[in-house]
Amino acid sequence: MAHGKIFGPPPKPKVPVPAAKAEPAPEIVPETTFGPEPAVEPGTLPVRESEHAPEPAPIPTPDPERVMDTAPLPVLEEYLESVPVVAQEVAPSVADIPAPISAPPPIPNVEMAPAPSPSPAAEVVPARVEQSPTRLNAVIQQFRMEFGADLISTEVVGMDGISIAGGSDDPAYDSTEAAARFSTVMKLAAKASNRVGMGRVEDNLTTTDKTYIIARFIGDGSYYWGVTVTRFATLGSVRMVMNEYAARVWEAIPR
Amino acid sequence: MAELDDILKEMSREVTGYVASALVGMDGFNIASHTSDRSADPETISAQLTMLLKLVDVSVEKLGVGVIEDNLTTTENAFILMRFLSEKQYYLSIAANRKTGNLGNMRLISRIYAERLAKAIPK
Repeated sequence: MAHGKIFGPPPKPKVPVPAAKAEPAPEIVPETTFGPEPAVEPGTLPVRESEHAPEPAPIPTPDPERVMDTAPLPVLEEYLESVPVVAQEVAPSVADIPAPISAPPPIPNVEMAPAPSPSPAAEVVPARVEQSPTRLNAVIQQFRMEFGADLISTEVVGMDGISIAGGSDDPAYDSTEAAARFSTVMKLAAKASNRVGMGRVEDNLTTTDKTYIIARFIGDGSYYWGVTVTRFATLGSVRMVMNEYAARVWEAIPR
Repeated sequence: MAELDDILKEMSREVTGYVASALVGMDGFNIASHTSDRSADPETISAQLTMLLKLVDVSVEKLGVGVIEDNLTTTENAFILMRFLSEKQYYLSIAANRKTGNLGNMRLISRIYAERLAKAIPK
C-alpha cells in the first residue's frame, strides 16, 4: 500500500477496499465505470469506455493480491469527481459522442475558402465612403477618381457646417473642421457680395503655398461643395470638373 | 500716395474686364483705390472684403494647410481677387467683370503688381 500513501490521498471509506479474502466480482466493482485498468487520458475522460462499447468488457476475476497492490480506485474516483465533466450530466448517445481529441478539429469549409484579394481601390478610399451606399457618395467617389493623388479632401456640406458626404484622403487633414470653417467663410462671402451688389456668390477659391481650397455653392445655395487639392493639381481642370459634377451632386442629395 | 494710385491706374489697363482695385490695410481702410465704375463704392467693398479675407486667413491657419497667398471669390457679376502683401499688413483687391474678365490674367497681373505696390508703400 505504499503507492496509495505516496501518490494519492487516503482511500475513502465509502469505496469498499477488498479484503484479503475477496468477495465475488459484482460486489468489488460497484459501477462499471471503474474498470480494473482505466486508461485515463486528459482528453478522453468525458467519454467512458462503457458508453462506447456496445457490450461491457468482461470483468476479470479479481485477484486479491493484485488489487491490493495496484488498484488506484480511490484516487481515480476522486479525480473523476474533481473534473467538471459536462457529458456526465446528460448522457449522450453513442452516435453523438465525439471522437477523442487527438487532432485539431476539422476546419469548416468557410474558412477553407480562399480569402478575397484586397482591391487597390479599397485601400485608398476611406472606409466610411465605402460603407455608405448612397447615390451621393457614388457621385463623390466618381469625382475622386478624376484626380487621384492630387485630391486631399472633398465634402458636401450643409450651411450648418455639417458634412453630409465625402471625406479626406489625407489623415492629417481634418475635413470635418474644414467643412465647418468654410461654411462660415461662404456665409460671409454671400453676405458681403450681397451688400456690395456683386450678386450671388458662386464659389470661393483660396490659394495657399500648399493647396487650393475651392468651396462652391450647389443647387439653391443650401449646401456647398468643398474640394481641397494640392498645388500640383491643375486648377483650371479642377474647376472644370467641378462644373461638370455640380448638377449631379445637387441631384444626388437626398431630400 | 500718388505713386500707389499711379500703379493701380496702370494695373487697370492690364486686367481684362477691370472694374475696380484697391490697396487696403487690414483695418479695412483703403490706402489707395481706383475704379472704372462710378457706381462702385470702394470703401464699402474694402470693408466687407477685409472681414472675409481675415476669416479665410484664420481658417487656413487653423487647418494647417499652408500660408494663404490669395483668395478669389466668384459672384454672379464679378471676380474679386484679394492678395496679401507686406507680410499680411495690407492686401490688394481687384474686381473684374464676370463675363469679360479672365481669371488667369487677374491672378498673374495681381502677382506682378503686388510686388510693385509692396515696394512703393511708405514705411
